[in-house]
Amino acid sequence: MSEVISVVKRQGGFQYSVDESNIQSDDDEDIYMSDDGNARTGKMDTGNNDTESGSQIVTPGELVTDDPIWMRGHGTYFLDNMTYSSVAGTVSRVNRLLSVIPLKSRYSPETGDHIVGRIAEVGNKRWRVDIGGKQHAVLMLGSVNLPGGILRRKSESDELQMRSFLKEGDLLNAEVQSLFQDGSASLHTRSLKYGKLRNGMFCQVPSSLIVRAKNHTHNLPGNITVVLGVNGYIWLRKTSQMDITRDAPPGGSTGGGSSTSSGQNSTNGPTGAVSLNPSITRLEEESSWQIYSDENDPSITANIRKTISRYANVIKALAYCEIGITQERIISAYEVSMAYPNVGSLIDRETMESIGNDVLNGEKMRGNAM
Amino acid sequence: MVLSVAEKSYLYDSLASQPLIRPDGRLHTQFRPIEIFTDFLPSSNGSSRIIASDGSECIVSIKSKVVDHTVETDLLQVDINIAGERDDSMIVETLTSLLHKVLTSEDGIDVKKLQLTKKYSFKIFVDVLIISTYSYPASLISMGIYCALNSTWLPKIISAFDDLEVAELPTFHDYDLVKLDVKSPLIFVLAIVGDNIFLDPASNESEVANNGLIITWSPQGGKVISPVKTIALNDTFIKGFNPILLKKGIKLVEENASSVAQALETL
Amino acid sequence: MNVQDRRRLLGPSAAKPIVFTTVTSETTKVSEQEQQEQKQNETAALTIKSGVVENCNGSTLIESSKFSLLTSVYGPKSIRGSFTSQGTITIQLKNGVVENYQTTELKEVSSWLVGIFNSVVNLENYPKSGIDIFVNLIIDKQGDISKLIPFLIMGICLALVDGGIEIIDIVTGGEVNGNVVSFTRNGEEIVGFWKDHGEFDNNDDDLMNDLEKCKKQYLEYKNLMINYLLEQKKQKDNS
Repeated sequence: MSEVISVVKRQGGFQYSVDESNIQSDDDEDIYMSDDGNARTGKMDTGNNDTESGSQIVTPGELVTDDPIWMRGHGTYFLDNMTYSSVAGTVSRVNRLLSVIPLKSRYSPETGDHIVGRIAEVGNKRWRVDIGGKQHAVLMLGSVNLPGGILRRKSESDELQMRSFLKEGDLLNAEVQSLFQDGSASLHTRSLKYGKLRNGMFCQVPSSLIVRAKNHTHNLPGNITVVLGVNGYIWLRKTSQMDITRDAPPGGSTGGGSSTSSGQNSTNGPTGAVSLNPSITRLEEESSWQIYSDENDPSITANIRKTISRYANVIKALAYCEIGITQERIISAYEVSMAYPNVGSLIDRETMESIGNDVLNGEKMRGNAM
Repeated sequence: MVLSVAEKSYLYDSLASQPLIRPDGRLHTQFRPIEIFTDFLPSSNGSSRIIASDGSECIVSIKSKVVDHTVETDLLQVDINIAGERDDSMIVETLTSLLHKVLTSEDGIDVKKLQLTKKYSFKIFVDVLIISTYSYPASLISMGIYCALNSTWLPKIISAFDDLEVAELPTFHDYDLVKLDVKSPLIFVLAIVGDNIFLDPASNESEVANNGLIITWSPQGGKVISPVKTIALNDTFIKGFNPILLKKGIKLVEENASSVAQALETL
Repeated sequence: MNVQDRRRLLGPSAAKPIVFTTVTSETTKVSEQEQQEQKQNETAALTIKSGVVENCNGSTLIESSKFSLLTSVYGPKSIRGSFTSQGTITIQLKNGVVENYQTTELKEVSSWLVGIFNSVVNLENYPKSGIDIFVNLIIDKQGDISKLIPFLIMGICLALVDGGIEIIDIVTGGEVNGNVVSFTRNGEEIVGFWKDHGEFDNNDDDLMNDLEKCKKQYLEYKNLMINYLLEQKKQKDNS
């Protein structure tokens, strides 16, 4: 194989055929149900025909239960007292709610999700944001931080002024505030940890590989911060001052590195109040035109750019091996990838598979396997 | 591909820096991996399906017909179809015209290899279907055509070569086939960002390129052939470039094209 | 003189036939070899006239002994639909009376020309707008589109100037041996390169030589265009 291009060839077929040995015969009888409330937390290996509690795979039309006591959630439908699956996926029983989560589907927004989205349209006092779901999400003008709160009073020349904040193509991270009747999301960026994204690069993985967690912004070794949107949209950037303070231990001490850019002491605000994490509170003072600037930090070095490229490649490798993406796994994959000094060699299929295997083996050995 | 101003600015700065830093860390001569399937269309003499790592996919079919070459001058016909585009759209017509020039170029496809008798030759119909594409597809199409022609089998002729006197059509063997021995030229797309020039631009790299080059290479002659032209890969960053980069681009292709052709050969 | 013949459509009874005066010309004798060299390197003798079409924003007619091109520019006019942050250029080439070129080839040249003018026109100043350019290849005696391209570029550039559309520099080009190169900034930058048939100059020196010759042609044509524009301005100021 030449160094310039790697070509995989197969003669006499339109695509790789499904390996017959993997298909097991299916029983059509009622599946044993246990009431242990096991929720599915993340996708691991696909094709697992495990019929143990909590991870049964069903196909559309398959009978899930005939017990009428269950509340029927997404992915199911019922006739008489029988509940059938309407998608191909795993059965999930949480408390009294029975649903089938499809193995592959578009991202479905839930309230509280931290997502990364791209502005698709500028409309009447709102923006339409592409979040990779079945519909665009809506970001209302009143749900964003506006410097000085000017636009909320005016209504003329709305469209032009709105574009000076967020225009078509802009990337931002936001939180799902609520859902409309039709399932589409309403977003807000009313916190300094949300807003326009800059100083980095975008990449995308299937949304099912991102696990819902308490925190979605992680600082990674090499001065890089990653924002793992639940919708599978990911932003890698150079770690900013705010990212450092966010991870700094709370407690109002004079701990190093937590001064804000305005040079104020982290413990005293202008009103004299003692605050623990000033970068996230006091929105009105902190909001300036800077938050909607399109300009990147001019001091992004070549090393940081290479590190960002390396992280992007290992995240794509994890996605190629269909491994759930978490902060620990990204760091583990990054360390494994350092065996390949040339970042560009990480795009080969064999290298991606090898990295994925190493990450999983590392977990098994450390006893962290989930 | 839609990108934000900040993203484009980051990408541009990375690609214009010395030495250049590509978003996926590739070298400036490195291609992304591709997957090729050949020989799967039963009603065509040759076929290929090429899948790029960004999801771009293209199917090429080769069919043949016996024609009187004293009457029919054009022995190669290319037809391009892009899923979702009209047949008279700019991109489809431009690619059809470009591919036609590439295949019929001097040192392109050797039409003497298509000759059957003194009067008759095979006419080759190349049909390209682009199922999806995320960057300029010329390079992908040319690799698809290369592999399809490389796995094309034509009927074996059993009648005499000299048929000027005889008024009969050529006759063929019932089941034996002969492998077609022609090599299609390869098209290389290069992107220019600042003072840097590199091969196989991805869609995000194309979005911020200052200009682009299409350079054709003949495996037969082992050299760059026409058509060679500039191409605008986007309409926001496009501007003029230093003539030295034209020389550099041609040199890049001359140095790396044969490795690409070799990789496409090995089965 | 017309005899009244009611079965035929005749002209007016007092019509007279047209009489042409005899043309006398003087030719200068040039040796064969010099003629050949001249042909390769010389810039064609051109006639340029702008503002010839009334109902468009800008237009130019360029003629020589071998061709006649008419360029018309419409715009900037507003584009309906979603917002675009900069202007959109479209170019359409049309065959003249003699259909020399196939539509696919004309479309290939048009999309290449759009690339050139996207680098030259100040598109950021025309958001939500479109600029439509039409070129009619009225007469073309050579049948080789590569030879016409420098004049297509010239015509479009002058028509844009005539239409008051902002451009960063005068753009035109030269053609040598099938290599067409379009320059800006006094020849320091290439905005377009086109070589679609014939043998390609693999030799570095040959290619550089051809580029230099094209640059010379570009500079001469650019001078021609600037002189024309200054003349026009003078005439306008005087009238």
